[in-house]
Amino acid sequence: MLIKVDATSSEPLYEQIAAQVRASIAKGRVGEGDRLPPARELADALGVNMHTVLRAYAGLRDEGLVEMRRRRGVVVRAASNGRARLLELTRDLAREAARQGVSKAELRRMIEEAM
Amino acid sequence: MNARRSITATAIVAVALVPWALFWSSLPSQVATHSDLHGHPNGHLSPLGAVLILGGLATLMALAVLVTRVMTGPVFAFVGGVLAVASCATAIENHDVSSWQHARLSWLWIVASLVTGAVAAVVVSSTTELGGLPHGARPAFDVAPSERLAWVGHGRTRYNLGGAIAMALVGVVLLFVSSPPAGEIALLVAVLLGELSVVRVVVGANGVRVSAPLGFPAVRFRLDEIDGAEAIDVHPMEWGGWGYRGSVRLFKRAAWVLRAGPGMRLDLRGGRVFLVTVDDADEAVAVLNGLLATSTRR
Repeated sequence: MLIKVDATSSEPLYEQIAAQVRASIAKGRVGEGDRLPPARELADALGVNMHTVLRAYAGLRDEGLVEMRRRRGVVVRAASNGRARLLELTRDLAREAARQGVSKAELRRMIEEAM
Repeated sequence: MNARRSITATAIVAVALVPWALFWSSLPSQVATHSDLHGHPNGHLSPLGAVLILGGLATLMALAVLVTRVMTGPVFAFVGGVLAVASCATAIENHDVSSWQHARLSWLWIVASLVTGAVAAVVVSSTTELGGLPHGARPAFDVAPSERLAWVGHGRTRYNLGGAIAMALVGVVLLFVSSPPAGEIALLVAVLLGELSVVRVVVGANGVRVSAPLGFPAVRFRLDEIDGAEAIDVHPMEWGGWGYRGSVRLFKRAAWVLRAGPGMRLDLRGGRVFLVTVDDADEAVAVLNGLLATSTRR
């Protein structure tokens, strides 16, 4: 699994890390039951603070992609592959809407109509 | 074929056989081949038997040094060196004695044999002829100075994991049913097999870290220790078999081999080499070479 962050990006580092892990799950390169690297190890490798990685992992947990277990570390949950793809699409959607100046209410209405 | 290997092999054969040729006529009918801790002989053979066994095995090892590749050469050189000195010592200590009981086999010979073996191993390990180690392309990701990359991957073998689980079951059964010591050994083997069933590789700003599940064994190479990396197809026998083989410090090469297939070879400073079998080795290598390129540019 490749994690790439850019210190000059406006996006916070923890968001970038979460986005990279999410992309790996979406592409199926990391699957159900796979363990994510320990936060300390990944932080060392990236040269970032461990809490930045933990914050990224917590975000992924809140999205329902991973589970944090006391002994086993951070484990990818079942059916997270499709969910990760959906999460990526919605983020793209929100980004594109913001770029075009479409309001949140309008975007919600568009999604409602599409369903 | 390589000069250092040829010289080492020739030296092993010469040390093993020449003393016998020199002293052949002055040997007793039986020669002492083994002794207790005080140097008193307690084993003997006919001179011909001793030459065939000690000199013969040393010669076999010398041949193995010539034909084997990469990792196994130093091992054969070590054994060959030890046997050669043992053979030499047997001839020297037995000549001009009335019978084998009067020979004195000094413990200094043991020291000499170990030292000789170690020297032979080091000489052979420094040979530049490395089977399957041509320098190919070193693909690299383009890494911007503001970017930080980390790569995490695994090398696995299902056989060891299966073996570990089976051995653990056997261990538990033995522990409670019949033989506790055997059970403990079985559990220990299970843990060792488990340790050798998967290896984690992390590539990042602080270099390459390779570790087993329990964190031991683990090795780390800083970026400034690494010249470059290459993804190669690993044939375990070329690297001395499965498991952790060799030593980067002692023999300038080490290999952590769990299976055949893709692996990452690190070319380290000073001509040292480290190999680890890992899935997606292409990507790992590109990340590492990219990091190396940016770290030298800075």
